Amino acid sequence: MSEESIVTLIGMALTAGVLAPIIGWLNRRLGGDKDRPAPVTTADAEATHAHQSQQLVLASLNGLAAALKQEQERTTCLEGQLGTERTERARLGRIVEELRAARDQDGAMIRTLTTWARDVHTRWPALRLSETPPPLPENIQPPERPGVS
Amino acid sequence: MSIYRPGHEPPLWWERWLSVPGCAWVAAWSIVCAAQIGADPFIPRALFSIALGHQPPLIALTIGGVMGAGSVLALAGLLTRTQNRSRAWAIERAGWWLTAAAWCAYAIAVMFVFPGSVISWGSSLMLTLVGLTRIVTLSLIERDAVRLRGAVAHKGQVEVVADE
Repeated sequence: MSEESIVTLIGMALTAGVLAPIIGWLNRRLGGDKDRPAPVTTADAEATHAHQSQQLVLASLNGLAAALKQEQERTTCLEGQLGTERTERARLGRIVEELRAARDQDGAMIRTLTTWARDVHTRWPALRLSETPPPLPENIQPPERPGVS
Repeated sequence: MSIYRPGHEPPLWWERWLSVPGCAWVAAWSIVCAAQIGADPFIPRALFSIALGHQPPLIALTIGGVMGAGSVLALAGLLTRTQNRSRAWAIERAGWWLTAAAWCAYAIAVMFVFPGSVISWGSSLMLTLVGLTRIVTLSLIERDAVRLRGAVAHKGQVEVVADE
């Protein structure tokens, strides 16, 4: 490649670099005032910075709200489980009370039967050996002893 | 994101430097290189740039001038604390156009004289890409600032995004 072409290429690169900002500047100047936005100032940057800070706070608040909602759902679920457990516990309590009442009734009957049996056991021989033993019930006939007549 | 966020509003000059250290150092290095390239035709014994020594002196002077003006503008737009940020961004953008063009021209000069010296002309092309990328970034920054300013101005307050 000749020296002229190299110089041409270098010149083209430099010309492009010089023309680009000029074209950009002219484009802004010749463009309509309505389309051209007002220049960004430091105050805008501060407002934007505050906006972004607000966005960050809001994002953290949204995260907190989501966590609270999740915790609330978990609490509701636990409350449901607790209610079920309470109902089951009440049912078991009723069963225990019924069993206890049945045990008391059984104990009273056992005590009555024991007292009656002890009474029979202690009084019956004396009555049988007395001068006037009590007659047996009419429907009970004592078996005759074989060989005794 | 792992980028430095300035603690002052508006940021101090060193905070601006720390926020875009790559661009700032490229601009500073471009000032030094522009001085050397511009001085190259007048100090032939120094041999600042052998590639540009093969070109007419006007080329070196032009590249040095464009690169110097561009890097000074870029650094000024980057570090200035002016209230009008749009103007600062426009100055910096113009500076990066000039700087990128100058580095591209330098890369072309090196490429044709020493085509095998890939690192030399490749580094210049990378500096060109740094400048072009910064131009895109500045355009996005300005567009985003205008959009956010409009959102804040029209709504008055930030709308709360409800979950339900």
